[in-house]
Amino acid sequence: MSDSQQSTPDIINIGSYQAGWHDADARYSYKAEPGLNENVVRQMSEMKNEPKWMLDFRLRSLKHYEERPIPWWGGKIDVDFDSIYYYLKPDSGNNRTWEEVPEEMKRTFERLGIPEAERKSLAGVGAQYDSESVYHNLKKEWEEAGVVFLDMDTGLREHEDVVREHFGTVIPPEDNKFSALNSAVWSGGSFVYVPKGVKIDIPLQAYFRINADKAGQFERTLIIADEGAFVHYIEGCTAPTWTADSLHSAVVEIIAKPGSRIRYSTVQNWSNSVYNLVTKRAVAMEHATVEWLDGNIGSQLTMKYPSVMLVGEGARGEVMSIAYAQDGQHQDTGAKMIHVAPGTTSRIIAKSISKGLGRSTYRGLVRIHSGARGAKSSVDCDALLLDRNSRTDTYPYIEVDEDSASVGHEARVSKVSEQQMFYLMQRGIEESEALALIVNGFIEPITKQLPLEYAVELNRLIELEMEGSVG
Amino acid sequence: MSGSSETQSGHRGNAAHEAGLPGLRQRYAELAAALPLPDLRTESWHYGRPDKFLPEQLTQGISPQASNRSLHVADMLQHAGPAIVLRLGIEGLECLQGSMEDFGGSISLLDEHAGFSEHPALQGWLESLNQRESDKLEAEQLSRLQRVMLLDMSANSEGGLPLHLIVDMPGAGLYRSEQIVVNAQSGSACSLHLHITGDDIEEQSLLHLGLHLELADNSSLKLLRYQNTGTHCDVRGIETQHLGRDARCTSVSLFVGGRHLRHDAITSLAGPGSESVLRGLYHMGGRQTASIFSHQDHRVANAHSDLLFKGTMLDRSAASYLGQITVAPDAQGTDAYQSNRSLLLSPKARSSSSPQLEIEANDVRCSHGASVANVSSEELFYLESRGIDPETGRQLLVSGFLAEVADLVPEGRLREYVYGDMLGRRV
Repeated sequence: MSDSQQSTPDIINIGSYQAGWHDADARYSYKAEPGLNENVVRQMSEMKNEPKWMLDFRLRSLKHYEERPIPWWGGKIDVDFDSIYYYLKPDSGNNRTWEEVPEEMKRTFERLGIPEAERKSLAGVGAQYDSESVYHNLKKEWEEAGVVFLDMDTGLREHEDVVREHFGTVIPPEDNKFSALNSAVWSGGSFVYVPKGVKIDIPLQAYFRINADKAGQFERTLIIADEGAFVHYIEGCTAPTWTADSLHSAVVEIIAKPGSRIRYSTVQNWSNSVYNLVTKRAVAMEHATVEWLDGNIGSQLTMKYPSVMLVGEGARGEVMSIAYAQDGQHQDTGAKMIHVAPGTTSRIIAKSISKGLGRSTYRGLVRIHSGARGAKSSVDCDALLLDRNSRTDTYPYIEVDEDSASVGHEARVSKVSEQQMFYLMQRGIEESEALALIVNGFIEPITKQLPLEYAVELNRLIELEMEGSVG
Repeated sequence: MSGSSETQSGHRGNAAHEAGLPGLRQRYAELAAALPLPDLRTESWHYGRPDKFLPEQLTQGISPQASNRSLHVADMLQHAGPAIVLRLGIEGLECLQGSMEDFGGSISLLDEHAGFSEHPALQGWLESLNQRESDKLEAEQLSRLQRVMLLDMSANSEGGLPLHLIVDMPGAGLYRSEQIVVNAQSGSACSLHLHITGDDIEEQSLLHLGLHLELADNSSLKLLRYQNTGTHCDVRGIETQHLGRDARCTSVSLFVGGRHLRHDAITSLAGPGSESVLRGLYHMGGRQTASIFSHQDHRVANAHSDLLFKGTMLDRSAASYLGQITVAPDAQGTDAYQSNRSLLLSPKARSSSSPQLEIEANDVRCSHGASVANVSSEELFYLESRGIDPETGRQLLVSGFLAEVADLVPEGRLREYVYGDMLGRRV
């Protein structure tokens, strides 16, 4: 453990990546006035040259957003919505090749940890710089197979029919206040379509970040896997540190058609001033599988409950999540599984770590509708409390209207075992390293599901966060 | 959904009104008037019927006729061995078996005329009952309180014979509200059996029954609540416990029959080393509804609580369970467990369960579990492969499920009686 720490200068880079930084000279070609009204929405839609139905959709969403109160439950949302910029457009436009990406943005991506060499081994790299995607590339073979991996704005232009058919069907604007907000002002995000029977064996990746002070980020992602297809989509988030509060409110809709499988992995490491209020939901049809892998390390408040609606017979949903809450952070995360069809199965594994004054909350729902014969669901929550003042909450909801279903929920709360610490320390491992080892062991069942580079990064992040937590 | 809205800790003693029952009633009436009726979105009322617990259409009073079920219980207890059996009836406390002298503790029934001044602590306890200031129905219940039964266990006394208390449903079209307070002084030990009985009737009959257990240091109490009522009987029971240092309370509640049930079990572990064991069983059929709320409030270090509520749902019955464990920042060394197991035995039965934790101390052991399922097809197959027909196999598995709680009823006539009641209902 100590060897790996000393011999990896990367850790230092990861530290700065974690803390974030800010490109002072990023150029914006258009920056809307702060605050939100009908004009901002109309202007945005016009500048993007959107079809009329999308403008109507945005306006309908805006109306709902204005009428809907802020949720009374969950974390404390203290955002000045009027001082947020709802739309920013960087001036580089959309680029096909890496060379065309402006130098300053390349620097940003490199510091984010996407070196050019690594990029080539990836199926495609899409990066969202503030509100619009500036770089998207997809390996030729996948393009030839009919795979579409574009930013959402381009997706809307080039595949309007597909987008129109599916957009807002999984998460309607009326779902909640923040899905309404996103639907009104969405910009950027990914559009992925995998045709029938195509199995993409390397992950598709996209990076999102908030750059400008008070810049809201409202990306909108739509992933569709046609019958028998497979795709693993990875999204990472980083944000520079700044003083004012900022808001991230994404919507991710996933549609898994019969027999397909979609895995969606994300590690969120927003700076500690960001409010991360996102809505993520998937529909799984006959024998389809949807897996959410969710890591929450940063942000001031995260409220995120990835869901799967199991509407087809034999569909399966899975959520594996890690939350790490430090001083001043509240990770209010969880998962929802809605069983509608017979023979559907689901599993939720949630692990959380609270450090200092951090608070982590598991909030989840398992609902079995009448008629979902033989549905099965299991939920497992583990919470680790590192300090005297750390806090953890568990709010599971189980609603069963079907007698042939079986649902189980277990949750445990504990502190780091003194015995384990003693064992490691008497073998010469320092206290802080021992603690980091135990914590990494605690989350290992989830990190081992991540691609290697993510798992390594996550482990190092946790190690860094653990520094100075003892003694 | 925050879970914290229902758990604001109550403040003890805050008398702005005159002392005694009239002042209490007024205080709670004002509170009730200011609060809205909970709707079904209120999480602890998920499948419940809050409107059925408001006595608006009913007359306050008690039928002079004892119910057949209460006569059966009294009769059964006569043959079950030495005990003291009391009935809390229209005229007050009647002694049906044994005598109060055998008991050792003192029992008094206090109405507005009786002096609360003799029991100065009582006022404070009754004022602290309203822990959840958001609960209109609880405030309503206390605003209509007719009288208070105080059971006083003197310091270091051994209860000796078990004390049985029979409380009958008020009767068709009637409503009654009673509050029982057990004051177990330091070092005392006793066991109390509460029988809530009522016959099948054609009109609504509503009972509000509050039970407050004040356990001083080193005291111990065993409570058994057996509720067996007929159709159209709605019962709202609120059980509150306040445990001092090293106090120990075991509370077992069994619910059979009736129509709408609401039960709240709130235990405050206020003394270090205190221990509360809570067990509950609701066996439901027809169109019965049950909403169960529990709260294990760990306020101090090194206390222990263990809760298990089980439910079986037949026909179109529906049950919801909302449980909370809260651990205060200073309550290091807490050991708390909470579990809710439901057996859904019919396609139209429904169940919801939400066991919640709010933990602000780190040196704790806290866990909870919840499960909802039908009888296991594997277990059924095992029994079938040994020549037991499916119907008998099902009965066996259901009674095995019930036994975990029902076997806490003391062995003998009483346990047989309880099993007879429960298994007499179709599975």
